Amino acid sequence: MNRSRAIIVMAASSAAVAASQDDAARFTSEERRLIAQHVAQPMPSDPTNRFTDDPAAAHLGQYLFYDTRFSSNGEVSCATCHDPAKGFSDGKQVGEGVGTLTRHSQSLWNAAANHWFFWDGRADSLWAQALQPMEHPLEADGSRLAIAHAVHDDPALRQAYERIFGSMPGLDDAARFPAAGRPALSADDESHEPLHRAWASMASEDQAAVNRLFVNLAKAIAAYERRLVSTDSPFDRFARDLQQGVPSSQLSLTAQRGLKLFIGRANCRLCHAGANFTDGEFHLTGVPPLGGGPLHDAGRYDGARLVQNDPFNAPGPFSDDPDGRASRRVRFLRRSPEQWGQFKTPGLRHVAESPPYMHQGQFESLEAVVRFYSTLEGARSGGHHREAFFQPLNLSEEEVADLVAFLESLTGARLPEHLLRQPVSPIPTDW
Amino acid sequence: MTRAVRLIGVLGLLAVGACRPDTAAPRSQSAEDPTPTPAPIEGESIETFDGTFEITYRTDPAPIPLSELFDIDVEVRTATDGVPVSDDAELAVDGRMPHHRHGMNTTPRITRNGSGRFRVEGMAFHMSGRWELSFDVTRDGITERALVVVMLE
Repeated sequence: MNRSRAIIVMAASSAAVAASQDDAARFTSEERRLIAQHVAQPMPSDPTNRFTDDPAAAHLGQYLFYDTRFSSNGEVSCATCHDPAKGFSDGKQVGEGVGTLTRHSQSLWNAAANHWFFWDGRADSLWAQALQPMEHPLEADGSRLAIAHAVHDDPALRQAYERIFGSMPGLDDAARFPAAGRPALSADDESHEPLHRAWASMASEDQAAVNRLFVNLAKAIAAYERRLVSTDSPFDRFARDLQQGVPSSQLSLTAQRGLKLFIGRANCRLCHAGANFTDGEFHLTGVPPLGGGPLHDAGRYDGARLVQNDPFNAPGPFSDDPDGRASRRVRFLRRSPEQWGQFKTPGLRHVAESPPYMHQGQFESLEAVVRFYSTLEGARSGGHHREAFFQPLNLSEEEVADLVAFLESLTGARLPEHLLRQPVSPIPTDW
Repeated sequence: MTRAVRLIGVLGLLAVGACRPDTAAPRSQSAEDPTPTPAPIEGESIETFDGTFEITYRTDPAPIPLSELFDIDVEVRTATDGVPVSDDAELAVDGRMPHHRHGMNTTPRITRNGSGRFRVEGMAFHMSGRWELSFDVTRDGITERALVVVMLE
């Protein structure tokens, strides 16, 4: 308190000191305490993936991330929907792989910080998430057997795989390992039945070997995605200056006012909490679905059941930490009707890079998002389930612009170019 | 973090001559009873609203973290004589944010852990703000509640 008063006196007596630099006086001690909660933190570890920090695994994972060979039409890779040039999203309302999906492609910035993955949280680790798009009929539309054969038959991929994970199973034996196949998915249609039959024809120990191979590839992809970390945003620089009591020009005045609103009367911090601006949990915002009408996507209500039944979850046989924290989160997870229509709070770092916004990309700009929360116009109630703490904010035009300016300040440094494209070889050059 | 804690009126108990057994002394163990008595809980003590039960609890970790699983050790005793309740008493524990009209995203599991002792596993308070942590003791078909306000900031 005394220090703030002293700075005010200095500003009053020094004509050269601009008011915009007088930051320690502009934020109360409570505001500074709340701001400190949002400062960037290192990515948490993922004990369920013992390769999560393995550079060779991350290199292989990067190679796979940008590779379209594993899709049924040879045109879809992870980067199709998670394009580094578009904030690791795709600029579309809903994703388009081999087919058209029903939800927006999420950004991968700081993905490793999540507890739950997908809008409905139906996966509980970065690697368990990576498995699903590879086989989903509307995304890459691949199958674990076809992917296993593709890796096995490419000498560089096989070498890269075996140096990290050990010998591959005997995939040359076509009787034991059909060319394509996987278990049935709820999204399948009749055309995928040959895949189910091929999988069902296998011996269980051969299925287990292919599953393990499939999981290893996903763990490599997760090791790469873990590197997509935001650093050095103007907000973080400002927060550091504030903490040190140093005058700061890192945030414009309008962004500073937006920050005050974010942690203050706009209450964004209730859900967009902490270092990644997400509580990692699920809420019903009542955003109207594309095409209008009532809410029809069950969201977390389905996701909670799916993650508990996922064979690739943290308590399961492919996890490297079946008794750890992630496992406990799944084992104690509640499934209740309250969860119907809830979607995961997205993180906000680099949010300005990836319009449109919300679970179906309903809003084309950050301004549209802020206006929605300001008026709640068009918000659907999920019966009695909409979040009770949502009230219209009734922001002024200036306040809308201030919040948008603050959100834009969460965009940090560009990643090095060599992390954003397929490497020349899946084998790192320093081997 | 502040908590609303209702303490037992110890002086009041002494005034009515209540006798509290020394719970720090382990009960004697026979060859037929290999289960060790758990050590008494050092934690917060609160009373149910109608004054029938005294509840002592300690969270693990303490203080309660934001958005991470935590457990609670609980001891329930009859308030008049301080005797731990026996197995005919049930305990239920819940956490809610009344201003948000929602509860937790986890379903905790409660197991007995000795006379009047319970272990609650798998609690999680996933948002900052005002939570109400409730302990419901049911005996002879009657439920009494004790409530603690927990501010996560």
